[in-house]
Amino acid sequence: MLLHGFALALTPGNLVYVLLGTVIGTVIGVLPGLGPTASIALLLPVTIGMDMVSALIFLAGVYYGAMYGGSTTSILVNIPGEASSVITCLDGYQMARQGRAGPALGMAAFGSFIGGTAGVVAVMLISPWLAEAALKFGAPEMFALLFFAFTCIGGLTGKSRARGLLMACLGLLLGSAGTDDIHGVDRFTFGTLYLRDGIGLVPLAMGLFGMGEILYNIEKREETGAVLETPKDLLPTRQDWKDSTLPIARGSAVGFGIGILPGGMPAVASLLSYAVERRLARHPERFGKGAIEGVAGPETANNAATAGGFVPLLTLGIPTNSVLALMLAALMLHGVTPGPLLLVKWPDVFWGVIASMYIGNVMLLVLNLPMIGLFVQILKVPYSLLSPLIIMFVLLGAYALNNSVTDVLATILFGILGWLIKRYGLEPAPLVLAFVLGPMLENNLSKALIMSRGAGLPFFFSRPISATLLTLAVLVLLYPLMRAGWRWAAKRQAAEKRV
Amino acid sequence: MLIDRVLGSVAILLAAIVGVVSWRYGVGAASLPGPGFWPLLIALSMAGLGAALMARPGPAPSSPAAGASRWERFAVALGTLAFYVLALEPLGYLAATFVLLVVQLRWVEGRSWRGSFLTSALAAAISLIVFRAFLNVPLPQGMLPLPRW
Repeated sequence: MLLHGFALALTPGNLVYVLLGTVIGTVIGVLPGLGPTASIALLLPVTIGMDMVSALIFLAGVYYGAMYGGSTTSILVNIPGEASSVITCLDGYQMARQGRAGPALGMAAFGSFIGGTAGVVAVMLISPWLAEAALKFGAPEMFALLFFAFTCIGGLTGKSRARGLLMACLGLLLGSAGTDDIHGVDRFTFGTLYLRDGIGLVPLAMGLFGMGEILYNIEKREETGAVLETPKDLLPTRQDWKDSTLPIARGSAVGFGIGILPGGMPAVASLLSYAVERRLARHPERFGKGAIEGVAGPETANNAATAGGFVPLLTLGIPTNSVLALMLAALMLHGVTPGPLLLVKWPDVFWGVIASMYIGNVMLLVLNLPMIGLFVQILKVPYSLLSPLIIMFVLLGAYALNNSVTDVLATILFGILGWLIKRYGLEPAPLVLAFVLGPMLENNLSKALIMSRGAGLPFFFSRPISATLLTLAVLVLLYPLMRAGWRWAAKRQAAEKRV
Repeated sequence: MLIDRVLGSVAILLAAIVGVVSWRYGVGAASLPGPGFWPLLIALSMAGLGAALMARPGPAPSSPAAGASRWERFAVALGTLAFYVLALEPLGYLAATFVLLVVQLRWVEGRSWRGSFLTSALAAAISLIVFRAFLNVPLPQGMLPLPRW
């Protein structure tokens, strides 16, 4: 099957798409402001005309490329291209200031390659097994799994769980607009025809992430740091390799593990990897001052997490972060229903994507190191020139979806929402994820309730899988309360002892 | 602190409105949930979360530190967006995009007249060609006497 996938992915047309995807993705990743989510949102309309496998291959390439491009700006300019590169700024930029930008970039590239490839191998091995297991899931189990995913997503991002969950609820609300699946009743459509089909994911995502970011930057323009000159020597030394081997190995494991979980964003993976490396290092005080382990580990982890995220997406149809939610939208746009049956009904899609991930990783390594000079030039383009062009592209993409000005309006309105969210330090990601998960949650809940013939909640707990998942979800939700309770109890004990 | 209280009260208000509307859609029974069942659940959760936020405001969110607000530019930017929505179909893609870009480049971003005109013309034309010819996406023609594309 994998060979068939390679055969598909290696056709000249698809190879071009992999190439285009990774290059465009890297360029967008290098540009400040647009992260992988915004990039994929912007490029989704472009893929409508492509055939299904090519579209996915292209978008996967963009995703990988954007991850890689983000680390370039982190190392050279101390500005993270997107969330998962924030950690790379810590030691990567310090290395650059010490004249070691080359090895930093090189190690980031190699680490990303190894992490990504290891991740793809793991995806390939685990997915068929997981899909088989998931076929035994009924509506109650799916609901429990989705609910667990939902609690993780709302709770793991940002500083305040309540805020994250509230954003998620808003997403659920937006997702419920439109014609109700089971009864055919129009909900929250305000009598308009446009809202009958529900709010579109692409205008929502483009508005929240792309337009919102631009509007925020118009309101408050930040000064960018000085761009360093093109580094000449890109290969890490033998000592660098010695120092980085274990961090890379650990990064791959940590990254993939996090990537599979709901809410497992590559940013979390790189953070965790950095923490682990610092804990395990013999001289932890070197971290933050240019330790190459601080670049190798996190960069490997975030690529492994990127690959890992494809497991739940392709086997269960559950996206674990906003980028994958958009990939889900892309799949559905092309008539593919993701879920356990994807491997059975559309094996081309699965194996084609896997093969293209291998190829994409290789391409990134081979292309990006020599093309560093080009990317440095891109970094020098002033943002004042880029900002209006990006706006144009967003509006164009919105119109291109359905030839509808209403989509353009929707994108702008969500852009304003995105600006507000960013301005007040809130998180847009839980909103998008909940927006996608919401209809699935409701669907499975309704089906499960109908199955239960009025038994309600006890029904879910009578089945082992859904009972376990629901209990886990409740634990996730209540964990902060429990921690606060313990701390309060401990303080009381300490106070009593003093008396 | 403040943000949590505001967010909390907005959440409770929204939850109340949604709750009432959901009730009117019909909630149904546990054996056959109605159209309002799911939105009602959401409303209840939002009310709970809103109350939690108001009772125990969390740590201050990490608002990215930045300079002073540039409200005039922001207002102009919003104005161009409103213009675009209204003018896209009557004026056609080329003209509307050109105006959007010129105003943005000149007044929001403060670039020179010549640079703005040049960039806008090029960008509008190239994007039209790429999307129309290569990606097969039809774009509004508009009422201006321009060659049909």
